[in-house]
Amino acid sequence: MLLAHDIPIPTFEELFEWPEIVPWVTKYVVIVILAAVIAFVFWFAAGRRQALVPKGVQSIGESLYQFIRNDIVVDVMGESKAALKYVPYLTTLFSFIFLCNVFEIIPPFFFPATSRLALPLVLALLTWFIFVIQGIVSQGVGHYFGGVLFPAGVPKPLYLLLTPIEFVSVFFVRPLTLMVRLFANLVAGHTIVTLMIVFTAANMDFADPIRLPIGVVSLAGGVAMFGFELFVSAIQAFVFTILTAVYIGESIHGH
Amino acid sequence: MNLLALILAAEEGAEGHAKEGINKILPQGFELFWGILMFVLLFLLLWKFAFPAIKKGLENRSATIEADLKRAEEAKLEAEELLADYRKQLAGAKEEAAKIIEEGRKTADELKKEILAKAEAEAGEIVEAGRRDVEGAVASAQAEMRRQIADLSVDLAGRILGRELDVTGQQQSIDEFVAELESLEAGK
Repeated sequence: MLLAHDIPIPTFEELFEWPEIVPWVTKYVVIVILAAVIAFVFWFAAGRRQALVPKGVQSIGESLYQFIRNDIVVDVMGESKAALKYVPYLTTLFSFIFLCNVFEIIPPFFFPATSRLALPLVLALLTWFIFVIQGIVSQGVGHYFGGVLFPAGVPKPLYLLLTPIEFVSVFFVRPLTLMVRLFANLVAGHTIVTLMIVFTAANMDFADPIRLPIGVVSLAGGVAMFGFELFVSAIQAFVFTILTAVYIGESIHGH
Repeated sequence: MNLLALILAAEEGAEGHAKEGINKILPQGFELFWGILMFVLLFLLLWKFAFPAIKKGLENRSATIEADLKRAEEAKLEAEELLADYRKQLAGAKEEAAKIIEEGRKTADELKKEILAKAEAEAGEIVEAGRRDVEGAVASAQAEMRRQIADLSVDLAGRILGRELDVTGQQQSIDEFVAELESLEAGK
């Protein structure tokens, strides 16, 4: 074993649980609040001064807003008024998830708030709640649940099989997969980044010609993981957002 | 027996540990609270204060760009019309110039012809006058010559005859003689 005996390997508690700073406030809470504040400051700054030729934060904000409007909402949900109404919600969702994710590689936090199950759970439940309500509002209770549970163009006896599957798939699997996908990706990323850093710390021994190269390689691996996790943060936020758009879009248009 | 107890104890311990593990993953109430509070708060604030400005900005920009494009299109059309106008005017001017030049040429031609005709006429007159002068001179020279011939003839005849002819008395016969000479000349 190359690891030095005196290097403390973080336990699960240290990786994912943080002592309360004050009661009910942990590192997770600080990050969630910071993410919300940063998102608000960013979007407020982006919309504050409307130059005809956008620069800096306005340019980034407008690009992101148009990306979500055109490439997520319009492409997935269509250009109807009911669909465009969701641009603000989906933009908020994307920014918030991305910022909560990206704290994984921001010092001194090095911890994605989304690697606590609470946040993916809350956001997945909100998506679930919204697409069910939107389905009922757009199509009416009977038509919406009928459309979901009894898909058209299927021989009647098959409903015996299909209806329970559809029921579980739409109303349980959807929110569950949304939650687990985000949560598990960030837990894994956080664990690997931590591992790389610990491994680097354990082997960066300038007196030991065998361990030093290993330390250097794992440091390089750690840096690469930082870049990769930045990418993962964006991708996971995007996936969560676009799936939410798909579900809400189905509720608006029917199956 | 001893072994069984050990296994049971181990299983119990593992179970307890597993339960502890899942508890650590499960969300805690305050985490749910903060998560939903901050997200919903963020959404409401952005919805109210940030996104309308961005949306309006984007819409304004596309409206401005559209208007600019339309204006540019109009300006282009106007310029094209103006150009066509100028071209037409230019063509008109060219035609006009050609006409003026043609007229000038015609006038010059006429003038030339007129001047030539006048010059010819004048030249003819001058020649005629000269001819007349010459004819007059010839006639008077002939008359003079005739007179002198007559005088010489009389003088000569007088000398031959030994007496002086009375020129004036003999004038008639002299004239007859000269006329005879002329007729002879003419008959020749």
